[in-house]
Amino acid sequence: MAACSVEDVLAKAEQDEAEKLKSISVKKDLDLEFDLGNLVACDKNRIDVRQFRQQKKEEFLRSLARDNTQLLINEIWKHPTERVEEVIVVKLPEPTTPLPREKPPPKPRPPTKWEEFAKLKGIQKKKKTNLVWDEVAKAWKRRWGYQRVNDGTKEWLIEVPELADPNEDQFAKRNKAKKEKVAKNELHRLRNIARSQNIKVPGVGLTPIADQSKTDLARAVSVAKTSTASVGKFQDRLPKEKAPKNTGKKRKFQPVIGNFSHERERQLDMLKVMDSKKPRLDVVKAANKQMRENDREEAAEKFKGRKKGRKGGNFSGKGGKGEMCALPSEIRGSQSIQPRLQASVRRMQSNIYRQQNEHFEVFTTVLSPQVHRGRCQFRQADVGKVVVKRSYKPHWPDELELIRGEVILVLFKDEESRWFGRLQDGQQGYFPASHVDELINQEGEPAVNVARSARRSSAPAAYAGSSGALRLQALRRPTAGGTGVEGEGPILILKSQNSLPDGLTQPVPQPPPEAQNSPSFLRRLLSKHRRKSACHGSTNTGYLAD
Amino acid sequence: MKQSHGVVKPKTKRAKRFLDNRASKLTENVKNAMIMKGGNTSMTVTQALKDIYALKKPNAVLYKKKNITRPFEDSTSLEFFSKKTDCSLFLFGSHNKKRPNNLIFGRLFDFHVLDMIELGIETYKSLSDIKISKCPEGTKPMLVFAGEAFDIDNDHKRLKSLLTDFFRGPVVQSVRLAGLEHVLHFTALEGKVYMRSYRSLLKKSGCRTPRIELEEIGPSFDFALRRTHLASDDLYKKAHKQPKALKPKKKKNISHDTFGTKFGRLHMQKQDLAKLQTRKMKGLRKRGRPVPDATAVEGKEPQKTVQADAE
Repeated sequence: MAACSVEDVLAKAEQDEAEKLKSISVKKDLDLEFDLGNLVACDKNRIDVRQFRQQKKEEFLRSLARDNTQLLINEIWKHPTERVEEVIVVKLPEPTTPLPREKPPPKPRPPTKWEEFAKLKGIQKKKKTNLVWDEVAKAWKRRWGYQRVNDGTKEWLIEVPELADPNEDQFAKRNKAKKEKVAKNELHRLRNIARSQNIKVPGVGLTPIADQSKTDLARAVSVAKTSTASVGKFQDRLPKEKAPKNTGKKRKFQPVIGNFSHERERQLDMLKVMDSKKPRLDVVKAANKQMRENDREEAAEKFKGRKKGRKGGNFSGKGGKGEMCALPSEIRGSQSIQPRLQASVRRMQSNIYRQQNEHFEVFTTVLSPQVHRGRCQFRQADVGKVVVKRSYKPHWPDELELIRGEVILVLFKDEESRWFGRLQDGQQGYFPASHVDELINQEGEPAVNVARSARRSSAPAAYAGSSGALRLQALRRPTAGGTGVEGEGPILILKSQNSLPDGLTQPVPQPPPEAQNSPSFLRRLLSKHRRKSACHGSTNTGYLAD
Repeated sequence: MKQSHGVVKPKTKRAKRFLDNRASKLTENVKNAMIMKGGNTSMTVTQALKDIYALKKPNAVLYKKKNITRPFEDSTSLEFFSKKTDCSLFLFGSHNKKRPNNLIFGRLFDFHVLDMIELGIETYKSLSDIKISKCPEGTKPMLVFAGEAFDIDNDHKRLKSLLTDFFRGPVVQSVRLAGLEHVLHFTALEGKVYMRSYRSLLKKSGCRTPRIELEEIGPSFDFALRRTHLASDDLYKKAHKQPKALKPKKKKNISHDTFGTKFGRLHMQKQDLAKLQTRKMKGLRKRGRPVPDATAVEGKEPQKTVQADAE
């Protein structure tokens, strides 16, 4: 009984073993070839085509793959494993399948010219110590590098040798010598490399290239041109050749001793500018900038407001503070500004009319783009005083009324026959040159001025009680061809405005300038042919008509 | 690095490292593959290219634009691209009426074409068609080649070498056992090559070695072998030349027996045996006794012996 059970047990144990191994054993006619370094297995057994066709393709292939993979895994598991950072890894042998390289194997570095010479002469390389004892500093210092011994650059005293020129700069000479040494070393290094790679190092200039691109050719041309004794200064340019873009100079200075008349002119111009009492601050430009910023802020506010859902959409908060009412932000004399101009003017108007806040303030400051343009076209001012020889009534609102005997300070000459100047009382405007005569001595004629002012003072009486409406009416004058009365209109209007004690405060920056009649102003802006430089007058273009 | 104006040296350390990485080395980097499209491609081809790019993920570049070239006729643009991106493997996909769903596998040596093999896709199932979770990117796959053709036919032999080169990934000394997931199985049968990609599940078996179960992930291709452009034998040999420094140093004077015993050899100079320095043993020392006693001893001894014999 016991004997049978022992046999049974043994048999059972054997059976179990076989079972276990069955699951991982695969029967193959030929053994597979393995390359474990690449995890590759090659099965050379014949594949039964008939079976392949009978069975479903995928099933057949899958079972084949399973068998082969099992064998490969069996093979891998035979190799020693180790534990690396809580992970069991198997050490793979070297790959056995020969595979082609990517690039040819590297060639050893060819010896340099010095190395060849050293080998020839039998010179051995002697290893030098890194540190050297410095007696002066009583310390070990490096042979080369930071805080080295014998640092030539740190020397504060160089003895001038006996045979040397006493005016020569020894320090500069030393620096130059060092630079040359470094450059020579670099050149030799590049030459060694070039010799080993069979390419050419440029001695002086450029190396020849097989197929040159446009930039290469241009560079070659410029190098060739500047390779003359006078560094290309007297070389002619080809008919269609363009001047070189960067001459290498970053800033250009006038020569110290040059053209005397030119220098005198420049100094006098400076005086003129200082004398002209024109504000150095380009008010127009500053105002434009401010307006632009305001526009931007307003737009951002509007956008935010729209997003959040409008809460009482009045933009008085923004506009009340200091909305400069004037022509729109960017005005450069082009036709395309026309619609934009009108639109923004309208907007400005609506802004002003709608704002009825106690914090309301309307600035009417100088904003005329033509001044900006005028400035750009600033010409040589013959600062001189001229005397009026013939009276002249202005045909355009920006012209001055000339009274015989008046003295005008000429600010600049816009055209041959049309000059810009200032009267004694500060008014500025254009006038024809034919009506004036040059004057060297200053002759004030107070009588004329009094007359002028008297005439002016009478006028306000007529308009004393002018209401807003009248004012507006006055503004909406016809533009073409002013009469004497109309000529004075602008002046009068502004005066009346000044006298009105409305809530509208008008900080006028300068002495009472002429007002601009807005429609004509606009028209002038839009006209291409007349380059009108506007006067420095405050323009309340908020009251522009549509 | 422009060689046109003489020697150009890199200006920063980073640039120098970059150039040194791309220069020829003793042990080379992993081969990168560039996957590109030809003048006209079908949906199958584009999808196939994308799938193979996914298989080769970090070591491949997939180009989006079409390149109007014919690799078998003019390979200059391929060489230019490989020089620019430092890739030595390429996969070019195109579609014509004459050669529908064409894939050209190729490799370069020293930026010149070494081998090019054209395979036509007959049947194709993409990665997205098979809805099973895939192996993570960058897994080193196990490659299995089945079929006699891979051993007998020259074209197939090169194809095997090319596919190994293409799909093997970086060469490592050790592999994590649990990470042996991806299996690429190539079967050569009746002029066609069937490529299947599986994910292996290591199941518990009774013993230490696990049992393998496979489930198909990944793209499955039925390729038909079309044209080939194989390198000449000498170029092929040249490409296989390994630098001497890489050869394992042979240990001299050590040999192994068939049974596994290790033998060594010693080389000796000529020795004078008389003047050898050996260990001194007392018993072997020469005995220096006086001569007259010798005869008496000798006389006695034979008598003793005779007596013994008489008795």
